[in-house]
Amino acid sequence: MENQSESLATTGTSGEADAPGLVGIVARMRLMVGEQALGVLVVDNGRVKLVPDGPPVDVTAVCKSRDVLIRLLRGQLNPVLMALQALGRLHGDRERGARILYGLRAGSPFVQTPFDGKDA
Amino acid sequence: MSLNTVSILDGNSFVVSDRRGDIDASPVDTQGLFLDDTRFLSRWILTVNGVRPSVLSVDEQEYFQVQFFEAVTTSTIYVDSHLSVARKRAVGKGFHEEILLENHDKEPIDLDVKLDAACDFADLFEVKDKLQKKGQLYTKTTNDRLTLGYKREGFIRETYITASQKADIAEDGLHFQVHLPPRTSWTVSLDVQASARATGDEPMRSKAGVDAWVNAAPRLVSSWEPLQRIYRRSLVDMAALRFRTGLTPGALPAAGLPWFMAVFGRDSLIASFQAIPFAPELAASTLRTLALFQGRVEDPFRDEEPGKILHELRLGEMTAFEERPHSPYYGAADSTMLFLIVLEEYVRWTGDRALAQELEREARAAVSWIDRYGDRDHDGFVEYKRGNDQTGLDNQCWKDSWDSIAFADGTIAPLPRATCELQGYVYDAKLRTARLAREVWNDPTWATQLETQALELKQRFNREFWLPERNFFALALDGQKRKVDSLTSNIGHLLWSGIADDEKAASCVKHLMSDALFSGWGIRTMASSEGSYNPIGYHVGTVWPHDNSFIAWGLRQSGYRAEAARISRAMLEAADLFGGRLPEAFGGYPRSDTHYPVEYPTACSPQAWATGAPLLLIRTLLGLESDGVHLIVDPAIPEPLGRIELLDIPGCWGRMDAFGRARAAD
Repeated sequence: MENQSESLATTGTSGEADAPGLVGIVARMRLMVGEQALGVLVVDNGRVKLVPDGPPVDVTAVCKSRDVLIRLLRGQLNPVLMALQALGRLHGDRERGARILYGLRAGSPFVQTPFDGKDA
Repeated sequence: MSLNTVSILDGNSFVVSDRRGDIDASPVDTQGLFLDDTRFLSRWILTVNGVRPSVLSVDEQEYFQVQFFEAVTTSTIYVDSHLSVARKRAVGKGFHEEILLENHDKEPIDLDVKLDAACDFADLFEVKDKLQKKGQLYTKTTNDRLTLGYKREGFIRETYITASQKADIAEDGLHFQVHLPPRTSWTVSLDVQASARATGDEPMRSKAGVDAWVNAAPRLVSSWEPLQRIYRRSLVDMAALRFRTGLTPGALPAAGLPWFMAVFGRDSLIASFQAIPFAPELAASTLRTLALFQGRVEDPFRDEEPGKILHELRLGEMTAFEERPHSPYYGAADSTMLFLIVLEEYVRWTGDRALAQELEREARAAVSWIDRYGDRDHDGFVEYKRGNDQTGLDNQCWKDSWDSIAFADGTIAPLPRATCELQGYVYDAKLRTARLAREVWNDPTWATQLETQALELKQRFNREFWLPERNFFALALDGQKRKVDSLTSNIGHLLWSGIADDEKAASCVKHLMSDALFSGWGIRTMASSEGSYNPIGYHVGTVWPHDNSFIAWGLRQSGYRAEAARISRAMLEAADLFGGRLPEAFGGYPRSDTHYPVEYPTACSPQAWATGAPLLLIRTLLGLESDGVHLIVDPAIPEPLGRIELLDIPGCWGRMDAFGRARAAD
């Protein structure tokens, strides 16, 4: 059984990678599963990296499960479906958060990242 | 909407009831409280001592508020009642209702007052298609609240009903025992709240808020009094249709009541364009929202492609579980070009270059979509064919009903279809984007490329769409590149975009003003001479106000002042006969047959682009244009409309006034 509370930055990738759909966006998005903060997605104009949780953040994505969060990071979950099925929600700068989630659908560097030792 | 129903709305929240105020949804009556494309109340029936009060009158006070006056009678023939009922209702995220009972008698009376309540939580698509639910309905009662609920996995929707007076709360409603002494009254307030997406706690709309919206728009004075009423009606209806996504700032126009209270690419963009001289902020919100949802990937289920602007975003259960593709659905071949057109129009009108800077990336992606995906077979024209064969749209132009693209003999044209107005929009979009590239994005090389492409398209279009034997442009090229030879209103859009050569445009104008297309009230979607013509066919003979407003605008831009004025006048006279509110569409019967335009049975009203039509017609009559610095005023007003003044027009010049009066030559 996967560890819901383990930081994504330690189980996933901590290096910078290209995310072509996030060109033009600069933001820090906190990633949470329920009450647990699992890291921050740092977006810097088309480059992204996962870092351990810490302020400041512009927007927070709260997901129902770790699996939902990983699907979001991989750009494999439609953000509208996420909201309608109550799989996750955004707090803070929701417009920027939505731009990030949509941008990840246009090519996410996490598609091949073996989070928790699992392949995509 | 049925004449027997009463609707109040606030964005995508609306209540449709009968004229008593009761809600009794059935397969034939689309009544209920709706929010986010879901019905949150399907039954709401007031009885007093087991009797449903009889309606005396309905006072539709504001678009979000209504009052019903009723009496409790026991006979089918009215005899003076001593018990009156007033129901005052205002919609927000749910509704608030005050019920007042008055005993006018000299004797006391004991009353058993009951409100039946129930909900089917139907998705709007289910309401239309009568589908069965897949989740579980439930009810919960406490001492002070009735909860109606529905659950399907994580999709949970609930309706909470509370009362200001002590009630017996049961699963089927609320029950009050009332003793009314002589000449006294009793009041109860009821709150029906819908739980849906989180968009922040916005206060319910107020009369002051509507007045502020209307007052922020230019003030219109006209010697033809109905125009002032039509103008105010348009502004108020546009206020009613404002819709907040909760993601982007500001509000954009939803498409129309009742089926289209949602973000639509085409409808929101067209309504925004129409409203730019009056409420330019709508365009800014629309552009930002559509940019956020711009296509990122190739997804045939949603007809999504990178750079494409959405067609429709829905929030109901069937969308949530991918039984419908509207999350969002991208099946519109024109919305991407319209996005570019509205962006340039907005920036040139307001001088808001910052928005153009902000949306440069999306604009470039939109142009890429036109060339890479819009022109599917690389023949130099944009054409469409749905990727989703189950629930996608066959027709992805504005005439999106199944039978709208037909040959003159009535044969439906095979797919893919390249309709003529799409090519005009591409031409216009590329020229306008070139202006932004040169003036805002500092990219003259790209600007020149776009201008060259537009010119080549114009030449190709005038060569390959022209029907020399009929002297107008083909409605479309079909899947076998045959010219679809029906005479339709689509050729009017070619004037607006400027793609038609002058001589060919002149010939099209003659057709537009002929008896076959111009009914006397407006230009029909399809000429009465064509095989598919039906005066009450949705896109094959009815008259659409928004269509006419753009044709009039195109005529005006092409120098046909008298023709533009004639259509504008006819359409505004129709609006007057519709009580100031133009419907989505009306019948294409000749004006010589009737003293009034014939209603189309299922037309949406209010509908955003019909609401915006009078605004664009006023702009047409006054000849309002922006050159990016100054407001240009060049009126052409027909005699009966007399004098028009539009004061405090917002734009890059600050606020300016425009005056025009009828002249013999116009």
